[in-house]
Amino acid sequence: MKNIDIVRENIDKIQKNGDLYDVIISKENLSLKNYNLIKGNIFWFSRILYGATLIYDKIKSHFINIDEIKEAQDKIREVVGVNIDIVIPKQDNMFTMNNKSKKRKKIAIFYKVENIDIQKYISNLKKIANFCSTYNIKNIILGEKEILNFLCDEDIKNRKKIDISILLEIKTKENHKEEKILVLTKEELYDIIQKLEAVEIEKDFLRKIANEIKDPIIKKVVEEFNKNNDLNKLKKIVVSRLELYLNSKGIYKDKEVGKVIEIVTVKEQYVKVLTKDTKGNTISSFILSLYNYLEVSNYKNLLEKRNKKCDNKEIMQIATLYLYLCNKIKKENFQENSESFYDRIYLDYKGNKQNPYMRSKSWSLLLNLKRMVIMAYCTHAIIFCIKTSIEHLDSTLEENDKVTFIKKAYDKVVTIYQNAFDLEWDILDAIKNLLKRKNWSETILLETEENSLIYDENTNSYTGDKKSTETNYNTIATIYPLCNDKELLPEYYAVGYSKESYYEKGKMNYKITTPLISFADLKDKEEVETLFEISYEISKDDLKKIVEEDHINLLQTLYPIGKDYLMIDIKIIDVENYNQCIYINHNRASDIGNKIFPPEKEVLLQMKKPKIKCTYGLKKEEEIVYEDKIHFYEGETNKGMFVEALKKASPDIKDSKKKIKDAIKEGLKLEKDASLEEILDAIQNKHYSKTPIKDANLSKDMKKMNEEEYFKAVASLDSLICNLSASLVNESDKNLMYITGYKGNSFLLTEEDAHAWNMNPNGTIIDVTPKGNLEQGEETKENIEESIITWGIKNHIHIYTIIILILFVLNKKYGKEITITIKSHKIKKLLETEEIEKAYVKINEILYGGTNIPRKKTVYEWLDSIQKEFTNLEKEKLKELKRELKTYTNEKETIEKAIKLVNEIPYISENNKEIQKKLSSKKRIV
Amino acid sequence: MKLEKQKIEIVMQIYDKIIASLDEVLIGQKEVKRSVASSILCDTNSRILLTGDPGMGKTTLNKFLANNFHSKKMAIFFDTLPSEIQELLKDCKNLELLQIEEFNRASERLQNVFIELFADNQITIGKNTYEFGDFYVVATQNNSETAGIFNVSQAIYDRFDVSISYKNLKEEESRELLFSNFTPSYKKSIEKEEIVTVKNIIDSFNIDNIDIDIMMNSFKIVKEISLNNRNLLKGDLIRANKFAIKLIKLSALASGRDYILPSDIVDFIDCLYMHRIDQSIASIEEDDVKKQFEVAKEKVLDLKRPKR
Repeated sequence: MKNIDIVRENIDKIQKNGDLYDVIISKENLSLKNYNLIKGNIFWFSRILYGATLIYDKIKSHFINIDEIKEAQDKIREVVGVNIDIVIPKQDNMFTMNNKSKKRKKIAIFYKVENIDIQKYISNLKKIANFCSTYNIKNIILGEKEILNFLCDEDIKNRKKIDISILLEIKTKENHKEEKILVLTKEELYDIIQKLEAVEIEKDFLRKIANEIKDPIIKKVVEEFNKNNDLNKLKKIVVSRLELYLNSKGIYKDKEVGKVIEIVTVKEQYVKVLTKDTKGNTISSFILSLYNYLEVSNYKNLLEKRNKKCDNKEIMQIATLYLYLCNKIKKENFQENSESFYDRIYLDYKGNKQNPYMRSKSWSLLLNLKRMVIMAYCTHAIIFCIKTSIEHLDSTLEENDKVTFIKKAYDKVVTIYQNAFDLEWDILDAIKNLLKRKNWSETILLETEENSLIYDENTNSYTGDKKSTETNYNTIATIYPLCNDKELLPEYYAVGYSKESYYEKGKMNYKITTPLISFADLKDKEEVETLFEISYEISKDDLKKIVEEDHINLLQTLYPIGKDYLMIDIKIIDVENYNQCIYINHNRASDIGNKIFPPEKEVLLQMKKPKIKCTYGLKKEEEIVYEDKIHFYEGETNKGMFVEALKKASPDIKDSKKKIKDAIKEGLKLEKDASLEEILDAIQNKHYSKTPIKDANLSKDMKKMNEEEYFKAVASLDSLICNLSASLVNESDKNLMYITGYKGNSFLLTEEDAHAWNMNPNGTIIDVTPKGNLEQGEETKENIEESIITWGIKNHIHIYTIIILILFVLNKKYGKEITITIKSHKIKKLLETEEIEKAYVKINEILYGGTNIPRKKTVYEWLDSIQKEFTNLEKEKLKELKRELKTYTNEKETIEKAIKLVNEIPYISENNKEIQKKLSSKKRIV
Repeated sequence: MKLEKQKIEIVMQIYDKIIASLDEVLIGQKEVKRSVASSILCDTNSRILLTGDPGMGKTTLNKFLANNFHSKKMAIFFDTLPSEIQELLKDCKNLELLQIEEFNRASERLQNVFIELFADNQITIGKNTYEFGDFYVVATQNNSETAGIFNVSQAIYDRFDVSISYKNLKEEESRELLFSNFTPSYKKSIEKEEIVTVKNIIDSFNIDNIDIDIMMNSFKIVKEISLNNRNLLKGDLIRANKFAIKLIKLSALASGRDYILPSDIVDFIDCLYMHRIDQSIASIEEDDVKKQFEVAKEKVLDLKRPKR
């Protein structure tokens, strides 16, 4: 592979994956991700994406092949010929780190070496400079310490010095003083090289020798060198002058031969002496060292002898100068420490030694913050757009399949989002609680204690931990017990009843009526055993309405049902300032009903966080008796305002159609004459599910069913939810009115407690919701999770996943090798087909026009030609070429081959050497 | 029309014939064969320098060429005198090929003789001048030798049109050479008339502006090859480029085209220009110089040719 390809490929690899330190550190997981940041993300509702990026990072880090990056760096080193590190300076790349965008990360060359002699150092710097020049790398980083071994501060005062920790975001764990590095451009590096070269030669010494030399040309050139540092020119001129002087006594007489000519040539530290006679015949020829020729033993000897009076003093002086320039004088034996900075870290990593360096916190924090903010806004934006689009559609478009589809999609997204949120929060909560607890029995005790909220009369306060008020769902109301008997507290809280309903496109619609509070029915405290208080929020708009109407007209929301609960008093109170309060009890109501006075209006308008608190109790004299009912309550008729409202509404109720009742019986697999009790039992014996219709996977869309089909389908479901059960009951007997409200036995009513049931005009509760009440949420969740797992196992998802993982690993390791083998064979076959030369010529004709005569070639010659002639064709040009080829209707076969050839051009251009190698490895000489 | 199809076919035929003959002389060394064949065909006065380590096949090739042309061979030693050369050549009026072995052993005085011979196709002995017609010069030298080697001046190297470097054989080529029964064939297969025909066709090949642009851009890229912030090639390289044009034309015709592509030039960059750089730099920083040449070739290949 050509050097340029090697360098490009390996630089790409480093830019894509990070430099050697980046990959080591990501494996060692030294980047900072802390709990608080995750919590912050939850708040921004972006944790799905953030979590996904974290997981992706983890997986990516796991699969990062450090040795591959090391190899990439080593290959580039081979091209340069110096032990450099390829680094990605973090400051310049702050916004492209961890980013898969096409913008390439800037790289720099880092050269740091200890104990090197100046010649080697200069030579290495030159190689680096040439490399950077060839491959357009703009920054070179050198260790300041090494340069200061040879140059002084003054020489590098204008160069950019920086701490290594800042540039590479890498610092020692023990906070040692960080080394300084110089960041240079190419031109600055050349300048440093020139300075080093000049320093290599001791100019004073040169000047001193030159002063002793008479030859004016040498004197002049030494002076010039002191200014321009052109060592090559100096050396050339000195050697030519030395040769001239050595040959000056070229003709002499030999005793035996007579007149002879001696020719001396100098090369490095040797001279060649050739002696010829006048006829040109060679008499002798020998090569010897310059020292021997000058009759000295070594340089030191030469230095001593040159100053002595002799015939060839000038030659000795020039030779002294020349040999010095040849650098034959070596200083102490330096041994270059060939390990680079990253080499040491890599070796520590391989030796499982502790990495003495780490990533700086600020860098990791910056990257994570950047990612979090982006993910937060992306998620927010996406959800917002979807939500508003759907809401807009909902309000503007008629129901049709498309709109429904979009709505379903929206529901799905929101559900997934919600489920993910729940799951994450549950996991965090569970971990948090696990860490707090010592053992499980204590856990249960703790929960029970936390849930008990007891009113202490003596202190007029509640005891117990109010943490149970924390919930994931919106709070509807808080129930404050004012007695010690929990059994007396209600379970059902009615919001409204329905006496009218209609069916439309797969949905039963109930018109819910919530009666107003009848202040006249407030009971005297003396007559009633105070049991509990219900507190719920009221909006400021409702307060305004009260003010406008001059009367307190409040809806009877959350009326406790199940016993003869009686309302004692109502407070409208500002939670932030308990002094702001309107109190209505039996006495006031008897006097003025629900009228409101002007000062009270002011108070209402000033309330910042208004709430309604209604106090309830049971009549004192009567014994409270109740039985443990399975599905409905009997016994004393219920009293209370809500029940009174039901009684009043009941005469208007119309009976449901017979065919609907029959459809329900058919769906429940009952006989046509089945009694109401049988129907109620059948409903109650089903399973509970929060998504019964979805679970059923009905063949026909409910929207397309008529009322009869709908009720039959609902009755035939395996599982039901409360509203469907209540709906079936209501249709079976319209006297059993459809009631909406809440059902709960804790001190907090939340959205989760929303419930539907039936009641007769006497106030008897009929609740046939299938078993699994408040805990069914968890069961359903488990069911969902179970069903996913079961589905997965049933459909061998786990096997497919393993296969995919194996294929992925194999592809990573052997993929390229396998691809090249297959491709080489394919390309060879193509290039060996008959008349491929015609196809080739066709391509040339389209590209360039002109005369093109087909020419037979070997496969290797074709590969060579393709690479040279088509390598500069871009993707667009190739596409255009193919299009044009397809317009030729004659010579179908040739055109087909030409198109195939065009398809292979990019691969051949990039992998020419590998293909040739692969093909030639199969070739054997017989 | 740039050139008749028939003429292109003639060039292709003759070129293939010479390559086939060279295949019977040497195993591998594809670039050497291409450069030698092209240099011989494009100009009957080519100056070719063959360089390589001992035993690569330089002498073998020389033997083949000697069998195909009327030639004179000389071996240079460090003490060879100019007069010896002159005496050898003065009566060779029908000289077609001059073979010089161990060229880099020529002393400076000898080099001066070659300057006159290569440049002017003549030698001067005393008051007499002996002129020659067109003849090839094929000189060989070993790169690895250091003893007895003189620095051949740049002026002399510049007189060589091409310097063709032998490379190490690939494994399968070594295998073939060692274990097959390959024997070089030195039989005469090159006809002078064929060479003249090809030369004439090349001379009559009219290149258009697009061809000229490609060549000029390539020459510019080559001229800008630098190392250590210094250009490696001095001057305008007119001599080199003139020969380059002939080679490029031949390469295009031999490929069956009547137009030039950058690939025609790339194949000859090394042999046309490598020997023209400052030898002191080339010898000290050989690897770096080669890298720079590779980069230049990549740049030439990136040149685009529009459709005519």
